[in-house]
Amino acid sequence: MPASLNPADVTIVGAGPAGLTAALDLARAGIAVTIIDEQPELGGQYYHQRSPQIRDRLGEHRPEGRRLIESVRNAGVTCLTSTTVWGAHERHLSILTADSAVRELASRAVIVATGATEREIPFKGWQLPGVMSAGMAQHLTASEDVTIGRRVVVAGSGPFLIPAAAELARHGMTVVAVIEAGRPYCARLRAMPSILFPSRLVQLAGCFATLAAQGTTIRQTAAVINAAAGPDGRLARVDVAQMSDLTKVWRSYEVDALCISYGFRPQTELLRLLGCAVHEEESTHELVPITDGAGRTDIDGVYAAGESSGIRGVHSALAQGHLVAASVLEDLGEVRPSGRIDKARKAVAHEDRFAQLAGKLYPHPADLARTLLRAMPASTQVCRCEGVDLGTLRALAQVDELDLSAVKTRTRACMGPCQGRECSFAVAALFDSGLSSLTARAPVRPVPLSAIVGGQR
Amino acid sequence: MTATADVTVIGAGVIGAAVSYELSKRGLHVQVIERKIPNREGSGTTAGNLHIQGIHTRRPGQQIPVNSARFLPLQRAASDLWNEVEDDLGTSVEVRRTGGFMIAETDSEVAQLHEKAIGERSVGIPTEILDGDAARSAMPQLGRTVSAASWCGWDGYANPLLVGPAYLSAAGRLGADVLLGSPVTSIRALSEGWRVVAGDTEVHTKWIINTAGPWISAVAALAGMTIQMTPVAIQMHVTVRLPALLPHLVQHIGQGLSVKQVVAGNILIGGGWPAQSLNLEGRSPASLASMIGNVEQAVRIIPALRRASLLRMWAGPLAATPDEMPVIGQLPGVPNCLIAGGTYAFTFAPLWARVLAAAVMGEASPLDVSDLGPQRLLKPVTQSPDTRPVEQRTPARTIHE
Repeated sequence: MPASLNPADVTIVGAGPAGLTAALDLARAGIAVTIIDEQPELGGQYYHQRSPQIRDRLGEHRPEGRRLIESVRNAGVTCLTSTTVWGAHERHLSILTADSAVRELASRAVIVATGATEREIPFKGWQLPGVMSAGMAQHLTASEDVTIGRRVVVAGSGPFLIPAAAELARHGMTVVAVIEAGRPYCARLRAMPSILFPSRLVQLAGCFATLAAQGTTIRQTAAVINAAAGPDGRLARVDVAQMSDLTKVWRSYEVDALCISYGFRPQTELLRLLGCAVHEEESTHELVPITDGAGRTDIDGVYAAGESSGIRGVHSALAQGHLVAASVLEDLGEVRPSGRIDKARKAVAHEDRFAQLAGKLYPHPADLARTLLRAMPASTQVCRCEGVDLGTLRALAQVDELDLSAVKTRTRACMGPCQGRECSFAVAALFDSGLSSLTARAPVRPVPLSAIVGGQR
Repeated sequence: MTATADVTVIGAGVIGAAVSYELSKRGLHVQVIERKIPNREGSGTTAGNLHIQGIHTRRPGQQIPVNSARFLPLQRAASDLWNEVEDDLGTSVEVRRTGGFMIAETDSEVAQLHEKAIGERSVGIPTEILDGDAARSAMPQLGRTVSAASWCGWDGYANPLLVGPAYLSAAGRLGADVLLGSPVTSIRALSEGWRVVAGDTEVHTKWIINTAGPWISAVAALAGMTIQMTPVAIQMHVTVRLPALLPHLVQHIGQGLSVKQVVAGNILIGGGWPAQSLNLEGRSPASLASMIGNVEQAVRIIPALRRASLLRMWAGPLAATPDEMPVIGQLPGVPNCLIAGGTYAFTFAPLWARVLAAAVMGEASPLDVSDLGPQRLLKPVTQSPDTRPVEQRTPARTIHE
């Protein structure tokens, strides 16, 4: 077996808001904590820190994140950055270290806080340079100060669309249009409960104001059906159709960047590798771990926190970090901190209600994927890793009743390096199949054979 | 629902699919019953090698060696049949007769190569033994530790994800009915033929063919037979896609190892290394120690693999028998009931399909396989104690889980 790292009491996978919060609480309670993240610096996607050069120029991005990271480091947490957890069994994690060695790490408890990945719904031309996920665009803009384009369309569906567009606008890019597949932005009855979340309304109003100042068009019940390249092979034009007739181009925009967001997906591979029970979340059809509400899964010593246990946003992730730390302390026989717990529990419940409400305002992601894919031409690439197009999948869908695992083995869709993180949602929607038949397999990320062999020395 | 069939095939793995096709082609009405989803277990998780030259006789941890000499006439016959599979089915299943090297590192392994060549010659399988340098000049990717290799131009592979489904589709086109997601719950002998119940379907059938892989014993038990099988889970490893690197299948005569680059460009590394455990309710978990052992071998024999990255590993059941040999045929005194399975089922699937079809049609068997019948699995097999030194029992490394 590979050499082992010093065992930890608690290992936390993922150093975003949930993982960092849990790490801090546990370390302050005297627990030996190791936190692991793929990125070179702690913070995850949400608290991704600017490099010193960019910080000097633009100031800090989300300084509360930097403070949390500093507290974690000062509390004596062992921080393994540029480190990938690629396998897991019975509280043993298989790790690829920053210097490309394979190691094992055993712990009394493992907290999986691996966050989320963006949900993709393929359309004609989505593989062109200039098309990217809104999350990627926001990251490049906010953290790296990269101008992703001069004229941008932001399209998709969900609560992330408007803030992402506003962020681009604030960084000087012209957001020509925001294209939302649903109809969330109207004073309809089902939007009324949103007045219970006034801070969110204020935030949203600020974003709308930024976009209005730019003259950004907001189109609802519409979707991008085609991204076309110019002579240089890069994105040049975006064709938009109304949801009522997805075959007909309704508006076209000459742009050099297109940001797409259809929401986020919990990253549950490690939890599933560890054998945790998952269920299909009704509102999204995504697999989420079954927990006791305080981060405990059905496997002893394995915990889930943050977006990997369901997409609820940063406020919930922070509160879940406190809750899971308390659960771990209790299970390890330590004294659990009392005061914070009720507050955290309330915050999680509050965010659950908000997510529930938001879910009602936007189209159901699986329904939306089915509707959009039905209108796409057969040549649309669905699995970009393995180059599987929509026509191939449609032909199979007509032949047999297959689950996702059978579709995978027959077409190679979801078989590439991303293990279906990109396309499995769309493929599942296409076959009207659940995601549960897609087995999580190690390695979660590809591991160099040289590291596997070298790890033996 | 009640259905009638000439033949009911239980288990839609590669053997079940292939025999369903052969029988449908002969005009019989076949009912296939599959407990879950076709090709999901051993048939879809296997390496897909077409083993034509003499084989390595022990997977890592395997106690009783395969009688590899007995395999040779079967391999010779299977080789001919694999030449026709794609034309027969009218579709590509990625059959590639790339030829393969069986390499040796130690002196005793070299001797084994020479010994098996005698048997190969006697059945007409063309092989040629090269010394290490000659092997490396034929295939420069082979590493320094290779001291000899036997070459067989007939070795190769097919895509195990495609073969079973292609057979089953072809059977369906010829009129076979396929019942999915329906474990068989009852088998009863009628005055003539059998009554098989699966889910809410009842099938009256003249013949039963039990190709249920690791569930062969369970299905046989429903019909009142006690068949001893010893299923295990073994695992496979695959790298990310690479540009063309390996032109041939590479195996090891003394250790469980097979390496090849498949049509898509991924490199498949296998050799029957044991998984963590056999889980017949879900997926068997792969073993980290086995992965490392198998990858170490592969990198030693083909050093260029160091540059590749492991994409995935998986495990699946191997429906082994206590004597590690295939099982095919009928139990004495149980008419119209055939069983087929055991080791090397993928290579032998087209052959077993012909043998089974001949039995149903009352024709002469294309090969004498009477010694491989299920009667030998009825009585407990006494395993002789393994007296060899430990290092010879588990070729590359001892496995600690």
